[in-house]
Amino acid sequence: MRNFCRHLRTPTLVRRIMIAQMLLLTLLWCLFLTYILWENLRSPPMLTGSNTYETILTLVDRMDDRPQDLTAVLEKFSTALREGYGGGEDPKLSISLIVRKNKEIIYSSDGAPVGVTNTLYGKIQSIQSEGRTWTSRTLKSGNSDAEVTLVTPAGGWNFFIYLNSRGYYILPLLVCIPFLLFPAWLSIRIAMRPWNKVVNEISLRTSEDLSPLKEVPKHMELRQMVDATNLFLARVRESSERERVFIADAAHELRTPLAAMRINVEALQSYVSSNNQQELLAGIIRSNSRAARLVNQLLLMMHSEVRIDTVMEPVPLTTLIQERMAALEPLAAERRIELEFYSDDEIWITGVRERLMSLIDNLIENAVKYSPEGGRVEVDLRSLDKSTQLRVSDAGPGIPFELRERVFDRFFRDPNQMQSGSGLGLAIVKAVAQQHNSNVCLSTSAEGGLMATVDFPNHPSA
Amino acid sequence: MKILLIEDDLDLGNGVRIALADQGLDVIWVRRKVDALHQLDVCVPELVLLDLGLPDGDGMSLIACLRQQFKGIPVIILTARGTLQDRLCGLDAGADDYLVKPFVLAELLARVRALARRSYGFQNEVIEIRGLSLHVPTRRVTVSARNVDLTVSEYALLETLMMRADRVLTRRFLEERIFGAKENMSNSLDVHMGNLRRKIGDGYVRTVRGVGYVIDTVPIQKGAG
Repeated sequence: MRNFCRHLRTPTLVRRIMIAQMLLLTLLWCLFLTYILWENLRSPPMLTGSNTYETILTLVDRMDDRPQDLTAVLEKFSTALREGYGGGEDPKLSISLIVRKNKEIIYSSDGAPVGVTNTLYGKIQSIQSEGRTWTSRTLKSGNSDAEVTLVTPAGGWNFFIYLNSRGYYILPLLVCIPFLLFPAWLSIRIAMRPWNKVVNEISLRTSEDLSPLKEVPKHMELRQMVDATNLFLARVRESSERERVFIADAAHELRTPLAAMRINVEALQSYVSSNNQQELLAGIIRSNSRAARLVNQLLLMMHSEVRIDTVMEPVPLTTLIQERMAALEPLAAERRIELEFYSDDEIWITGVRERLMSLIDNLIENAVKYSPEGGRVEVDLRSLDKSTQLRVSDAGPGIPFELRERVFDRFFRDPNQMQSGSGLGLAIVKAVAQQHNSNVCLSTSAEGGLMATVDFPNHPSA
Repeated sequence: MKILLIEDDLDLGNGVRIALADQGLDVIWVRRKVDALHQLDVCVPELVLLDLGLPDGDGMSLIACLRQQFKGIPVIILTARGTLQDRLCGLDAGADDYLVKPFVLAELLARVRALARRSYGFQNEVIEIRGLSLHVPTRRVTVSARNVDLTVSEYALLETLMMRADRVLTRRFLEERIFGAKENMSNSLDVHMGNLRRKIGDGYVRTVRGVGYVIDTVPIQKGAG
């Protein structure tokens, strides 16, 4: 219920258009009505027609010999006229009837402005009398000198009274509006369909996807919006691309001084005999390696971020992991860590080879780094029903449960972790996994360390 | 061995020069493309180490030039740009090997030696690791001066492993190398490896489970330390 209320409160374009439509309809109706009524007020149909006059004149002529009956009949007639006019019995608001014979009044409606006389027969005239304005018209009988004058009030404010008495003109509109609402709503909804298409396309995007919208609407207004959005996306794309290129360039530039430092220190090592000095040099080399690794990871990060120009192709994952493990083995051997790989036959997945490589490297390097000396890192690749599952387990300290989401953030490091690291490795793993429509989850391995699991959706032909 | 080092960075060039000179290699170091071309003519180096980012011209064009005029000279590219595309570009242009900065001295030396061996053959080359020696031209294998008879496949396997000592060779690589196998020959590889180990004795070939095999120049002690 509350949701429904909130839904009602939020402004919608459809509602806005509907309200605008209804307001416009009402306004047009009112204008039309005003015009009609104003016309009626200026020249009331009762005065312009001659039937009423004819009837009264006939009555007056025929009942000339029975003045009392005539008065009674005219009295009734006047009442009927006033009722028909709709202004009630108040002469200031309603029609009045004055009958003269030889310029002498023989009948006038109750409270009629008797001072009103027309100067011309058959013409509607506006006449001032008793401080008011009246519209009146007089006709003279052809057979006698009887004259009939019909008088209606003509003041501007009378219009409203008139309108009030003619209220039934508003009714049709009030009755119509509810019936008009549904078709109006439906038509607007249908008209807005192309809009929804565009909205859907935008909402279905992944957060990194900055490619232009593929939906090109035929409608001008929408096309303008899509074009503007595409322009905006292009600008965002350019700026993020520039930023990436800048970071990559900076990282590349860093590599030469790092290489120089490393080579110089290594060359120096053979000249140094004292243990302390050797240790200091080893420290420089270690720091240098760390800096080099960070630079590499920055570059990997820049490359692993989704770009439009990447081509997904079938990759032999088993072979790739074997090759990467072979390349990383020296790193493990240094700390006497045994790498083990278990896999079914060759498993193919669709992906980007280089980025998958950085994912594998980061997972295995992490496992090796956090394993205790002489430990074991187990890599396991298996084909499941719907996916291919890669698992890397170590016997290290693992990652506490509450940090398992946050370790994927760039430069986030477990505050209790003594090992040096850049904090980019898992961010890269996550970026690459997302790019391959898979996800990474961390759990506890059989040996109490960390187990990273990546599920790749199956290659269609597999 | 005469090596021409083309590197514009002062510290890196100097460092590499001294480090290689310490290893008994004769290094000529230049910092510009012009000087490199001049040196190539004057002293005919046996190997070129080339940095791609030179101030007076692109390294790639220099490789092309090398390939045209000095066909036989092996080239190792030193570069800060290490993506697959960059590597392929460099190798397509005619470089023999590729080192991404920052590199380790040992790696640089290994690459230089390996390339020299590849380019100038293994004449009278004996590869020797911990008493296991392999005389390439005659295909003679000895363990502690005792001759060992190996089948063709076993020898090929051992030679492949010894020439790339300290590098883990994947099962796939070995299979393709030894059997030219396209189909799955895993069992066959294990059988040959088993036989080879029996003949040369344990402690030489180390298995990396599920990945491949390696011969370590320095043995790795197992167990917790």
